[in-house]
Amino acid sequence: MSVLRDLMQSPARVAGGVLVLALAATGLWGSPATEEDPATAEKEMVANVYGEMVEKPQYGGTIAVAITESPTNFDPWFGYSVPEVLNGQEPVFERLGDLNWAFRAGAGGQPSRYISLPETAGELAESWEVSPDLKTYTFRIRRGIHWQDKGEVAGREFDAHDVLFTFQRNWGLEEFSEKGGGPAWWKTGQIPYESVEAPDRWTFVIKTHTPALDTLDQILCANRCPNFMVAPEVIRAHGDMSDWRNVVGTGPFMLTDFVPGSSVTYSRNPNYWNSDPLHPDNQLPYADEVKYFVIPEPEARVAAFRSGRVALPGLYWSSLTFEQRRTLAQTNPELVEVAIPGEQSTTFTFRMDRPPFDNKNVRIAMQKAINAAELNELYYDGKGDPTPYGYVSTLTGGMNLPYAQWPDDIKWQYEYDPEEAERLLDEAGYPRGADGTRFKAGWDVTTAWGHDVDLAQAVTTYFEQIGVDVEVNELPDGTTMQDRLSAGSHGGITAGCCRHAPYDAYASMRYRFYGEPGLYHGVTDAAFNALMDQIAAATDNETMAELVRAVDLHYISEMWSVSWPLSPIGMMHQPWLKGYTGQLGAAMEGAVYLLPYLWVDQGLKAQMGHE
Amino acid sequence: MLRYVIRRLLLTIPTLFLVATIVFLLLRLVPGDMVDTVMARLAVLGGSVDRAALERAFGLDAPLHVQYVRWWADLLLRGSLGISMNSGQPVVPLILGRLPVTIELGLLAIAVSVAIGLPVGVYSALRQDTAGDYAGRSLAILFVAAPSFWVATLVILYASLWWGWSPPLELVPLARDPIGNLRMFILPAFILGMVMAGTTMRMTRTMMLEVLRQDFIRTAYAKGLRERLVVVGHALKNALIPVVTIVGADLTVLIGGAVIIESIFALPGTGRLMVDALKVRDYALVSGVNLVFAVAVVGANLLVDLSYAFLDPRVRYR
Repeated sequence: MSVLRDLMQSPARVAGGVLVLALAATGLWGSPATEEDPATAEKEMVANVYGEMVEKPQYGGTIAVAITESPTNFDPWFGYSVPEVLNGQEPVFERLGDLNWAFRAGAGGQPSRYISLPETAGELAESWEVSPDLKTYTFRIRRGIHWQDKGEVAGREFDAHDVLFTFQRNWGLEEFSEKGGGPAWWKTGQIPYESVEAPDRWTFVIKTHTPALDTLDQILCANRCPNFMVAPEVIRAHGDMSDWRNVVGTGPFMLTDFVPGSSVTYSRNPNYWNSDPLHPDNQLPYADEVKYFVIPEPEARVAAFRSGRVALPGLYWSSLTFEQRRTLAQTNPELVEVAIPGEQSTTFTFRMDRPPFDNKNVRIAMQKAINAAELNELYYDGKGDPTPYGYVSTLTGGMNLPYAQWPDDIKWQYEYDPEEAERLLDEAGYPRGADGTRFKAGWDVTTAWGHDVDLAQAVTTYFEQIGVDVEVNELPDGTTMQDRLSAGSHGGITAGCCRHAPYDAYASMRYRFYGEPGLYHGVTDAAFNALMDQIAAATDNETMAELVRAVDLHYISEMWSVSWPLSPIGMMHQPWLKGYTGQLGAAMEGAVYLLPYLWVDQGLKAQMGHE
Repeated sequence: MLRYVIRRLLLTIPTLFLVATIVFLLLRLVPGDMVDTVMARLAVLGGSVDRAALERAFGLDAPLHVQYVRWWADLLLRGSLGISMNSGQPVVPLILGRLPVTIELGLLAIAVSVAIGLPVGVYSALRQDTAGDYAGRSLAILFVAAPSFWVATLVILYASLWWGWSPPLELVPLARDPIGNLRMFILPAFILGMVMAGTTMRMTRTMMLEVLRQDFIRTAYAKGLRERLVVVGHALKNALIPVVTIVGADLTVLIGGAVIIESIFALPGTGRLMVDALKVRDYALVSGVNLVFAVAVVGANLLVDLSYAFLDPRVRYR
């Protein structure tokens, strides 16, 4: 895109302008946005549950959102195509529990190694109990919830038998034993279940044969995970919900139209059970209609946002890059930018079983070449955070090991010192050649995984200074990226995950590094494996947190990936879209489904010239 | 004539077989498959998956030749192009649902190219080496040289920056609201038609210049016929034969362009369907769309060949 921008500085701008003017003369498109000043009228204010005076939410209106890929199937059984599927399902379906919109940092924890669980609130389940031996999970199903009034269920009351049916379908039990479980195992597929039952209409019980701290998280599956409850009548009548017309859930919106590859339309579920946790007297959702528009191209998506055709450029904080937000803030000051607590990094990981990165000193040298403070100033306008960090996010409530607590010898590994980096490379047997180059490496990146290609290019200049020639390979899609990651066919550097991982660090680290060798990065590390085994066997939060901190320190010390500035994150929306204040769940993972809680200031929208 | 048509139709069979086979094999040579796609999606979100189980679910655990035979057996015995791995739905209805958009875009683009290319080409030929001719030729070169994706991106970017305008997003069926539908299609059709207009313009000019120097044209002028009658009734009809060939051949340009333009303008056509399917290595869907494109190209070439008989009475098919 930077190339494109450069081109636009040239006479092409004139040519493009002439063409646009010529086409505009056809008069075949809609009227441009008005220049009218969107001065706000006096707003009616109310107090939320925290006692803060906020604008009084309004009902009605349409929320249009840009999404990057079309939903492919609305049936949660086909949940392997997340997030496309998930985008389409979230408005219609619900889980037993979900992240709490009203959550504020500091809430109490529950026995889980999943960091987001303290933020979880009951959704279809009003409450749950976990037996002391962590093997029995009893859910009290909320009364008074009804299926949407359509199709075979026709507004029937939701109960524990629906939950039982859903789990049996997902796991291939009872009437699904012949067909087998869904291909979307996700987290629920990892539950070591022994039995599932609904002893009465309002109780659902899962028993497991092995105690595990993350079982509750896996059952709730609140992290961008499609463990949604489905209606038995619909599945029995149609086999599945591949035909969107058959889609029925308990959620805030009803699926009313779907044009594959183009748009999805949802209308308000008038019988939705839930209320706004910030304004408990207000039934959700606020908007009459939600429309998703599939806009795959980033430039077109930004243009649609800029012109007001969509209120949100995407459902996730990553919908706009830092650079796009900076540009939009300059060109369209009317847009609202919400800073989100927490930062994100998409740093890279080395291939540890092959030269040159099998040598820890080489990895340390790569880290020492990077001037994080300078990068933060130049690339993020000083708004990021250059402090070194490990794998586990600072938002994990006790499991993160802050930089201040790192031992001095490990802090040394992260200090910017290009001369020391050169010395380490000399010692490691990689002297500068005649052309000044010590060795060459390739670095796989893809925007499909949220990588910042421009940032990667900028970082390579630091490596160049210590004689390491790193070529950035921008890959066209996540599939190619994954294939090269799995096969190890990249040039030694790949954007594996992670530093500052905003989700279950234990499961993520185990998936990538555990084993002989680990799955992706060629790590064979007995100490790491032992720590992972201890975490798996932990049955209380304190022990588990201590072990996670230990394994994080091990990761930090081994330098399997580098640390660079955490990028400041945020979302932007049209000024007429109200109610979003940077809720933690959305910041972390886009896990809280935003739209039921947001409302449209229809007066302001009209005033600004939008339908 | 009928024998010729039948022979040509029979010849399309090995062509389509080869196209389908090459696509089937090439797809599997490209790095990554649907299992990688799922793993990539879950890896980004911190999930995990059993690779072998997924391969079984997608039918990728079978040897390549077994997959190949299965694909042909499905097509020939059941008329099925398989099940899309990504959506779990049959491929044929997925393609049929997207075809109208691509057909409309293509027809409009051809209309744009002919509407611009033909008159400007004729004008250039009639006013050879004048300022108007130079302007027409420059326009043709500009149209051919400017990549459609670049023009499309510029238009979208600057229209939103300068006028706060961007293309409509909601697909309105042509039958329900022709104006609304046209609003969505006219700009992408214009940009897609530009390249073809340039080619048409240049070919029309060249052929017109050649025909205008023929004896029968001189005779027509000598008989006192008006210029319009000579140009339209005699010269243009004869000059059109190669132009029709170009317009027919432009179908491949059209399909290639549609793949890009549909993505940029968020049009849910078959071009974008293929791009989306390629991204996730949805083998069945990519193979199916390619087969449809191949049929379209082969069919268009056949139609072009057959049209010669109507345009040139000297042509006889045996």
